[in-house]
Amino acid sequence: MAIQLLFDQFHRYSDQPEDGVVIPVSLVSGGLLVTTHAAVDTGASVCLFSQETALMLGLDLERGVPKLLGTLAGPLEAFGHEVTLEALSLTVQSVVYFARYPGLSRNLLGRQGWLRKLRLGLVDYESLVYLSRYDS
Amino acid sequence: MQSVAHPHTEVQVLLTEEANPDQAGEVWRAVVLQMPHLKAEGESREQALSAIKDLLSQSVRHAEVITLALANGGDTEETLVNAAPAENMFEGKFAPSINPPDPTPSAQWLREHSTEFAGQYVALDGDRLIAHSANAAEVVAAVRSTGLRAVFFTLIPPADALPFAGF
Repeated sequence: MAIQLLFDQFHRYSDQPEDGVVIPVSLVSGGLLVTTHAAVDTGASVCLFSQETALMLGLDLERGVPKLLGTLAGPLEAFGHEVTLEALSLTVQSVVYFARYPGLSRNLLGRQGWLRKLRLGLVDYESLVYLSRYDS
Repeated sequence: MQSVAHPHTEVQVLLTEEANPDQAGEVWRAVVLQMPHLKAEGESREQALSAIKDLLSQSVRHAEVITLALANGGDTEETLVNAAPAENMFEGKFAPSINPPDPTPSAQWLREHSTEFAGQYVALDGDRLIAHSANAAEVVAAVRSTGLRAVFFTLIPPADALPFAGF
């Protein structure tokens, strides 16, 4: 049985394997807008950004909702903040998490707050990611 | 009218008791002074307080503040509010576009300069480098000094960065 999915848009990401499925994402909070890169990570339960991104957004990091995240390297402390997030023309207002400590090497777009709002297609061979709102 | 303030609390609520023009009797109104769009009312002081607590719980940003201070007849009363964010805020909701700048010029700049600035944070306005440093705070300070409200900001991985296999 063939299944057909329709998408509103696609994005070609870097074809370098070490880069991951990285797309541009913009965050807004308090009138400041920061565009950065984040990896689409279907294995991440939440969206996670670096402490430095929070700093650039002007967030008072530790006044967010604390959350301890499990990682391959052990627990990671983070704080949730409500932001508006736009990636590839899809805009969501949701809670994303920021690492408590500096040096996070990669921002992640995970399930809660982002992926669960979307229909996602991936053809890694062609470095193409397809996106739509889940309800479109 | 009850004016509500406390020097050690993060939220100040103004509670007022006024004549209700629609019905006989009084109505209590509660306004969060720091967030005047948050208004609630009830037939009693307790109802107004409960309604404002519900509003506070609708947003994680509002949940950052957990203490309401109330004054009643000169006596100060503090009420701790469990302003847990609404569950739907964690799931997210669709919102209007924030109209971010086109990231293409910044991405092109990164492709051309990633070797030169490896291991550093960079802030860009389109394809214009605003600041760069291994110290993110220095980059943030430089951006603030320009007055820019929108920037492209990222860490360029060091040249010897290992392949990523998840956190």
